[in-house]
Amino acid sequence: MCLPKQMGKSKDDGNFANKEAYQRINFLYQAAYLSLTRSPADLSLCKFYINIMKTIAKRLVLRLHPSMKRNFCRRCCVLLVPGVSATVRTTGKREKHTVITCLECKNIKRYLWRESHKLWADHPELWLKREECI
Amino acid sequence: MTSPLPDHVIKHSAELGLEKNWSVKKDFVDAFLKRHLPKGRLLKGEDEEIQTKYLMLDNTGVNKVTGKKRPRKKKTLSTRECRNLKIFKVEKEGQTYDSYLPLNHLWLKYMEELTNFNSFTPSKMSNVQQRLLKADLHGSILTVQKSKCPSYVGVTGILLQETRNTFLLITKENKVKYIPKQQSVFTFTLGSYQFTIYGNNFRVRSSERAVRKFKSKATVDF
Repeated sequence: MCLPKQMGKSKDDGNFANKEAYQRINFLYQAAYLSLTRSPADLSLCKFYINIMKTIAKRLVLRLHPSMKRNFCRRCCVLLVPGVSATVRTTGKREKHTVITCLECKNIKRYLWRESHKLWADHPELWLKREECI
Repeated sequence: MTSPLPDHVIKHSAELGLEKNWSVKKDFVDAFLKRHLPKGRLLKGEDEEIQTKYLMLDNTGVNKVTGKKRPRKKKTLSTRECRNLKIFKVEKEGQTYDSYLPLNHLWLKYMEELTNFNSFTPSKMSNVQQRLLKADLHGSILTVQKSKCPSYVGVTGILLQETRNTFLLITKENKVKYIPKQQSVFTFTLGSYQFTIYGNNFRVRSSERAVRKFKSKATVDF
């Protein structure tokens, strides 16, 4: 789910820097999803796991994939699932955009619909390849 | 405040010299510029341009109305706000052990991926231990093996939340229990191996464990 920097020594061993941390982030993200689906009324564990995930990524300076990073509330760390913990609306008075509101803390995220805007992760040609790293 | 001049004054305004004398003013400016401007600039016809320009001598600076800046809304919560809002507080009532079993299965899969515990060999143990130190324990089944407080001994449950000083377990009797790490020893099993956690040396925030370097400390039995 997350995007490991490919910095291993040999090509086939599947090792890269901070592999364990990435595995832990992956686990915590799934655990948060599990606790959300298990009890949508009590979101404390979901928040807790996401919070740990965030701090690990922060301390080790790892980048979360945008699909992951955009999927939780930056204020209260709740996973944003439309209909359960978030609402998704499109508005376009000034410029067309999507508004995602966290139902827990009413924090909003806005995403513009600019065609020129493209995420770095969507440009595979910009990624550093292994050979270039070494 | 002001009222127009009375009619009889306006009738004789020319005699009284009250008429607006634009022509006199213009003559004066023309003559002044011709006297003082350099010849080159006069030839270019700049005197005409200059006449239309004016300088404000009074009230030159425009006073900006200094409006109060609205304080920016904070985008994240501080730790204290988190604590006051009780964001991470798990409800004690209405929790069941069975509903957390999927979490345990997920954790077992994670451990399998991390350590391959089904194919352990004793020679790899030190490597596995190093990995387990930095691994996540949420979802594991912990047992209190030893403790200074006898009522904690033997408590078994799925770990829900790990804070700096406590473990939050849910037992098979559907009870949610906070157990302090200090002065107790925990165990958990992976495959056919049993691992022991010394609570006294484990008193770190779980997110910090990923970064921290551990030193081996002597453990004192109780």
